[in-house]
Amino acid sequence: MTIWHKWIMIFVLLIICFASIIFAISIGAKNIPFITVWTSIFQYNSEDNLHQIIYDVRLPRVLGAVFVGAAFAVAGTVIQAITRNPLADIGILGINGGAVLLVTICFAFYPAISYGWLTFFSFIGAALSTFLVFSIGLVARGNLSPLTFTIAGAVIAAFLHAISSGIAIYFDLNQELAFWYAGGVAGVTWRQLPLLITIVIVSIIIATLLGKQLTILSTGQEMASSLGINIKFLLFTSMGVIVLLGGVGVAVGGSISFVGLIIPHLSRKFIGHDYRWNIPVSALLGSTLVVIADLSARIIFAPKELALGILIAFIGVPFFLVVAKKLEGT
Amino acid sequence: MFRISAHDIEVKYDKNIILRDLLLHIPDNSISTIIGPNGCGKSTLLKALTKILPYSKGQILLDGQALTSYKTKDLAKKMALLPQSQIAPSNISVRELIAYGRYPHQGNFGILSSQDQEIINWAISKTKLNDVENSIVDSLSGGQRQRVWVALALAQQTDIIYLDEPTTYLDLAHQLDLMKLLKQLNVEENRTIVMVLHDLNLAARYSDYMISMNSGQIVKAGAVDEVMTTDNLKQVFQIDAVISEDPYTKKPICLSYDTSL
Amino acid sequence: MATKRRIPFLLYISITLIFIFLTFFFSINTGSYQLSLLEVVNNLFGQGQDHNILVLFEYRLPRILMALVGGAGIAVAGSLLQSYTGNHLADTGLLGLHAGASCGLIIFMSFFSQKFLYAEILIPLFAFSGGALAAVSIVYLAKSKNGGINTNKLILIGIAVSALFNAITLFLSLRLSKDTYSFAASWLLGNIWGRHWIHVSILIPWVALFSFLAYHLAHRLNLLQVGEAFAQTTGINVKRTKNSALIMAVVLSSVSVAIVGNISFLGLLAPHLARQLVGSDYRLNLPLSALIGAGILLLSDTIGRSLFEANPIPAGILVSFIGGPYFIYLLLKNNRSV
Repeated sequence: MTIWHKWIMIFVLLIICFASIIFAISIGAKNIPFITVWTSIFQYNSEDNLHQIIYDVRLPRVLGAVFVGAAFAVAGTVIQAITRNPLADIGILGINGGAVLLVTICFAFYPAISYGWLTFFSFIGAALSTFLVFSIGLVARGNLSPLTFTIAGAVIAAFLHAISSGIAIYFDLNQELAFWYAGGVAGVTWRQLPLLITIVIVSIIIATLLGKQLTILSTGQEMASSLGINIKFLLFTSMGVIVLLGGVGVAVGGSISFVGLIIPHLSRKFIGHDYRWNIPVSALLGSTLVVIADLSARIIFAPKELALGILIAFIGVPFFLVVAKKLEGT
Repeated sequence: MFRISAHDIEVKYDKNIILRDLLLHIPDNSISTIIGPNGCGKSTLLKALTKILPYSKGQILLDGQALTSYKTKDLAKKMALLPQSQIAPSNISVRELIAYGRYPHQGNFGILSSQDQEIINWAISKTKLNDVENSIVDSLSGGQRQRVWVALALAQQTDIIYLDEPTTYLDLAHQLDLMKLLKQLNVEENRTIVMVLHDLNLAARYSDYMISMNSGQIVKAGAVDEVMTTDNLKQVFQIDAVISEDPYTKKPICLSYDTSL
Repeated sequence: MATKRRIPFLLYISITLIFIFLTFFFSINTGSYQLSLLEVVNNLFGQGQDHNILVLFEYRLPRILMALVGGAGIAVAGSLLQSYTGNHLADTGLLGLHAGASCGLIIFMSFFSQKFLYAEILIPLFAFSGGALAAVSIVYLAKSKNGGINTNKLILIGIAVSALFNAITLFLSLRLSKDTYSFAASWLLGNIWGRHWIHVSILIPWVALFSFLAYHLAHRLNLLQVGEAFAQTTGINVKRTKNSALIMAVVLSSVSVAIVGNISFLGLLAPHLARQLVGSDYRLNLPLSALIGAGILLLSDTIGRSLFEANPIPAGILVSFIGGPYFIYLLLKNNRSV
């Protein structure tokens, strides 16, 4: 695939992403024609009713979906790259679990917490669980089969979930927390967006810059090292990216698994193994997926909403099974 | 004459046919060795003979009966197998592991009768493991561990013993020890030994009968000097071999070789 | 030779039994109604005030028995699953047993809650069906072409199918009313809700029967540990043995989980401890594992009730608290020795 092909592909994906955004904004309890959506962005008229709906309700939500999707997708790509495990995903590996735990603690002790602090604690939580998961993974580099790593992650996820639930029960938080935990961008407001967008974009840029090194890493740590890559720096920075993306993703969108699992594979199919291309493509694919999933979640059981995390699990699991089946041959 | 025989068997693995129309007779009370290059099907053949892999056509006979008609426990009283890589459970002593070999003759709880204990004692002395019988298997050397597995097979009290590449993880001295033990079992106890070996010269030194294979077919099966010929080795291994006579053992050895491609 | 191992075995059994007795007495005296130790003993033997007897027999004793029997059942199930998968990191949650049972419960709560009168029987039934369904689908999906089961594939498919059932469970739970949700959530986390004698009478026969059957399988599992090919040549019907182990594991864990709630990690923790203490001989570590499981669950439940009196913490969470870090420790230890 020549470089022109790649640029064309990115361009096409951008268009698709953009189109899905417009689509998602216009469909809903009240269908808004596309033209109106277009004009509301570029010629905002605060008097117009429809423009108001778009600005107050639809746009923040869809933008939330875009960037949460991108966050999880890129986090998944990076984690698959550094663990060299095609089944890695921050949800499965329990990284989300840490963020959820800290958020739960926040809700328990300080229900009126500001969004900024919540995100901060979400980061801390993600950092803790990332550290935990990677301690296990890095202690026996190469000796740990992807399978054992996945099991370890699943156990950590279950363990952190148990603690979160314990706290939720003790402080009587139950059902509200469950709604948040199930994942979704339904309540995203403009307040949350600046932080989300900044962090996601910065992280994606950093990840893409690391792209070449990550690609070389896929040949193995020893090989990469002998080619001159500072492994420690690479792993540390990658983990930082994962923590940022996971932390902010969970803080805004709850715990969404499988996006980070599915998208890297699709992205690889589209554009190959070079992470410099893979990462932006994952971001685009991830955004599109979550936007469309969120749209579906809104309309399938209208007027009731299906939680996003659940819908994606329904898609993600069969996908996971197919990938696992293909792997088994090795 | 031939308790074990395979008649035109076909053995598949998933959908790939590994052995096709294979005909084989294994002479009783002798040491027979299967040799051949990687992927020739020697392990597959051994697994078919021990009923680990099923055969899709033809018949394998043991004592006149089809292999498939035997109940697992009855079969276990007639043949024992040392598979290629075995992992001993952690924390188990030599004697306890050897005791597992008594299973075909026991009930489900594995309670050992005095007769069982005697047989275990005998197996231990035969394999010279008396000094270590209470040690943990994991703590033994490779050579000793291999002898434990042989003792296990002995405790099973079978006439036929199969071994799948038993020398892979052993160093030279231990390899020879194992072969000498097998020879002893064959000569003194009339056991039929069938094994897969990758070391030609070792095979030639200790076998009575050799079976050379390539691509799922038997190229030549017969006495050692019939199989250890330049022509045959060329067909089997694609090598130009120089065959001579070992000064110690008077058996054929492959002195040197070059690739013939 | 066997004698060398037997003494530590008996020793560990005794220690565990003592531990259980102590916990039993601690537990029976925990709760809003306090009795002195002497009164407890008197009441247990039928001499004492009616009021005391009521509290003990109708309230606390069944719950304690549930914890013991349930814990034992899950422990044995875990041990069997570890044997079946050939993987010592296997836990009863692995084959979707927990996820399936949870789903069964939620379906009952969502659609049949008006039959709450028969809850004692229906909840276990639904939970068991869910667990069995999950296990069967996972095993079926994991079968490769020649009928054998690849363990890696099994574990992976287990993770996926569990995730699916969990998603369904989560989805349905969000639609429940707040009270129903509380009950469901509590069960999902391992709250021993079964506290009447009818639960005891359901649980004990199943656990007892299948634990005995499991013990019957024990020596065959020993041989299986060495390798399947090897086991076959010593006369074991490998397929039948493995299938039996699986079925027993499913029954034991589903029925136990149905009545004592979703307890993760116990099926991993108890067998592991047993194996550390007495080795890999299933004839020794199965019974010890059952006792350890019983003790741990009882202790967790007791602590959860006594330490957090305001809002009792379900036993399952406490077990996860110990089990999770222990598992992680195991992984780290394993890696270093590799």
